[in-house]
Amino acid sequence: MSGHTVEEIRKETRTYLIVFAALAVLTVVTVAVSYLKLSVGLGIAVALAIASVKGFLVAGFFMHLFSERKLLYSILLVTVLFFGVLLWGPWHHWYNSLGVSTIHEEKTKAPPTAPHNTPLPTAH
Amino acid sequence: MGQKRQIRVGTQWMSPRDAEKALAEALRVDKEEQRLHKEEHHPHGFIGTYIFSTDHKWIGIQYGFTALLFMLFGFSLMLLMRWQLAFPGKPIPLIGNLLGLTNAPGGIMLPEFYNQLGAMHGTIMVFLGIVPLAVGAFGNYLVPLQIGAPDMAFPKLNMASYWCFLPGGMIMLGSFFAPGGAPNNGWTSYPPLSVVGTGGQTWWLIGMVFLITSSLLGSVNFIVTIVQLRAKGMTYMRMPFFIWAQFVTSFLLLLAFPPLEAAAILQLMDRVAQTSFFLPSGLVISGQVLDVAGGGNPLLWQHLFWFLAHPEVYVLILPAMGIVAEVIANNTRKPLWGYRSMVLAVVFLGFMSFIVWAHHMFLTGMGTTISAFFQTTTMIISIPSVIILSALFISLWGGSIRFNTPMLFALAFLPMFGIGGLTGLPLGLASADIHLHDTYYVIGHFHYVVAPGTIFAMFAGIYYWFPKMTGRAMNEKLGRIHFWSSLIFINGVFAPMFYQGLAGISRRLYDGGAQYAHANPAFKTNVFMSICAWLLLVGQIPFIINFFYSMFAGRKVNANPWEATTLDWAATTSPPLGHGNFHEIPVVYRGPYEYSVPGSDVDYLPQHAAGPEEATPGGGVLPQVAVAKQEP
Amino acid sequence: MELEIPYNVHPRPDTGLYNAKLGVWLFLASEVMLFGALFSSLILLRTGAPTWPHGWELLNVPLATLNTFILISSSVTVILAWASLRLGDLKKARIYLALTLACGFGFLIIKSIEYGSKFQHHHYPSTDNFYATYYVMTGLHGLHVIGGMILFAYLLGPGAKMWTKEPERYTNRIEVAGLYWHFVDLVWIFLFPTLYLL
Repeated sequence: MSGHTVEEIRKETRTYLIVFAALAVLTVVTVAVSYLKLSVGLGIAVALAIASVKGFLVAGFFMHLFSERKLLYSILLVTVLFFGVLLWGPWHHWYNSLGVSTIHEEKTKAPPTAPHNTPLPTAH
Repeated sequence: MGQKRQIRVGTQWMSPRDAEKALAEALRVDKEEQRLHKEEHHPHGFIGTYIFSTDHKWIGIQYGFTALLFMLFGFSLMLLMRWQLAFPGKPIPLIGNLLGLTNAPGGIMLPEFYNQLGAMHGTIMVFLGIVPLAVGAFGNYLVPLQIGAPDMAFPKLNMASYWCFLPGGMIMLGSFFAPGGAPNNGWTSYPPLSVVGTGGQTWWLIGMVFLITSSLLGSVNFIVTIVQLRAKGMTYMRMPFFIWAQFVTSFLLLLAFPPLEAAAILQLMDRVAQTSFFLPSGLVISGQVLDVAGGGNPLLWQHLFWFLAHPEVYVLILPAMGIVAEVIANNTRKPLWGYRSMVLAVVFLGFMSFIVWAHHMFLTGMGTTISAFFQTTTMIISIPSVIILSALFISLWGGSIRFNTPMLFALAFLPMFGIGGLTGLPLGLASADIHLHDTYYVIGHFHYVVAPGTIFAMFAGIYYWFPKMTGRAMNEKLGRIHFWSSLIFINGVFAPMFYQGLAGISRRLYDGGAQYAHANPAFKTNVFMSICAWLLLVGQIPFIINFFYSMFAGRKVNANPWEATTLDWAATTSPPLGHGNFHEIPVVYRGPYEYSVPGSDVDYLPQHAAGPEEATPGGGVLPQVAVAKQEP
Repeated sequence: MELEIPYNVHPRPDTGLYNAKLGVWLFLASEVMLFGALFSSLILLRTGAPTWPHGWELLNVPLATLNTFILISSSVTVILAWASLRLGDLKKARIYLALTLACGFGFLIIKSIEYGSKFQHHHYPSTDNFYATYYVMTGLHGLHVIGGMILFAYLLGPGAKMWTKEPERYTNRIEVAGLYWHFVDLVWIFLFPTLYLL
């Protein structure tokens, strides 16, 4: 548990209000950025980055993860790892499926040149 | 003659009126004492003590009885199926005409009904039978006892967990009565069939949500209990291996079930709200294009399902390994070999189990990169299993083995799980799996692990802890009959399946492969296998008789009849409900398997008994009277 | 005769946690996997689809932005409630809890306005996978909001009686409820850009 004295608790309250302000600002930023109509990849990266910072603030300060001990961290770290696997797995399967990645390869490769016109052996 | 009549009450003579008053007073006092006694011993009434109990021991027993009943039912579904496999197209004797015209007209099983039986057999055995027995029953009963806790961390949550499980199970069974009947799409519920199939699948999905909730509440309870409520001196490395197994199992349940819950919600939406999460565009069924938005992906279900279902199979085996470890240590009178390695292996196994799931999907058109990834992780995960099994085998070396019934089942577990595990290896290799996927080889593999594997371990656990739960021992003669008939017939059912699978017989065929000319020699073994299955049922009768008879008339035993070291045997025989587990919370002084300690005068040192070196004021004493050092 | 469970109120020294706190974090870990599965489904369906509309083309961004502010505010009010309890001020804590509840109501009202307008234009989950994922993800999140509100209503109302007899245990309950509520906020922090802004 965090601080016990009245002074420490009041200090914490001030921290919460600062975090609130930061979250409000970041919300405005993320909505504003969406008006820039960035490319798909960049748009996703920026949106997720801002969301991650906001999430980090909520988890660290409001849920006081920053003042907790190792046990909680390790449980959450393992969870985040599996969360990542869950997000990656199905998508990568689709991407690496027979017929999908080959389509991508074909699109990026140079178009095949026409084969030599070797006449077929005719039966005489 | 002037004397008024006097009545003697106790040692006093008094007038009749006073005597009446005294009698009324005596009756009142007696009633009051009875009420106080009832309040003290049964503060919650019958319903609070036996129906909505919050005592982990009673909840464990509730889970145990319910799970065993479900298992018997799931087993009988298979026995019906085995008739169809052995004698396809022949009317089922005795009960054939009772199954209904939509299921078996004239007593001959329809393929649709066969599929329903198959899907429900798998579902019931896994979700309503084994997991509630292994985790809900054994876990609930033993975890607080073995770590020296008065109960689980959240007793009310524990009660809620059972009361989510039972309705969930009943809803699942209710699916038989839905329009179209029970689900016919395998326990794996693959779309599109599971979206457009029988009405029962909706019930299956709703029931699954209940079961997942129950499991979630349980796993939170187990983890918090093990982390927070270990008695003083019970460090992590002094916990019995059974506790480690339950600990890892609970993490698997906690983190792996939610994706299936999400998937169940998505499939429910597809069925009930006409969404297309799993339905591709342009799907044609019976010559008609399905009128849905499309754009869905059936493989999405497979990923979400197997993300749970692979860790789920480790949920099925880990508690069994835990039980076998306890029984072996106790009946060899020596510590487990490689306890530390076993602990590391089981934690590593739990972690790896989350990244192997797509080995169930090798034939879905996966590219080489992702196939190679999952093949590699699958091969790696066999290592911790081998470590644990080897440690258990090596633990037998140099032991003073007592061949009682629990030990017989525990010993049989070792080679049976070995066969199950080894036959998993070709399935985990993508190339070999091309031939073996969805054949009887797979069925043989997983049944070996679960049936002569886990279920034998469950039997070992029942025979072993029965005296703790009831204060009476089960009969050894009946136990031996049960053991030998189970061992022989279970191998008779499942061993030929490897041959059938290699010959090319696919699974889930209602005629057992009769239509495949190339598999005909292998098809003939079906009769032998079915007979073994029915004899296997007969072999359970001595067990059922033994179980109920011994509860009331078995040989009475003391609190520690197996002379075991773990804390569960330090509690009183059949610890009373609602009063905590121990006369006083134990303090732990040593590891869990201090048998035959060199230099000790006694054959076993319980964890909670302070030796002469550790005795503190108020500390415990050795179970036997301290033996005086012998003069040379 | 209630059983005395250790570390129900006071933390266990080596873990630094009391039971319910560890319990709620474990529950939240499972919730991460639950919503994670839905995010994974969205990724798979979206990347596999030939076309997929941008969120801002079909959804009401200003309303959802307002909802984001509302949820963030409710996160602050609930933690201020907990801080007030640690200072011994039940009255202030009840005001903050009531504000949290009010924010929750606000969120749900705006959500129903959103859903309502979509239903009016005949956009249902069965319309296409864009709407299907939108409804399921925001719907499940909304159910979690309702769950949290029921919890706070209880703690504000009949549950507050615990303050007189066991103030520390009541404070712990507010902390645990707050952790759950912050998680609900956290999910929305990721859900909002994913569904509305991309």
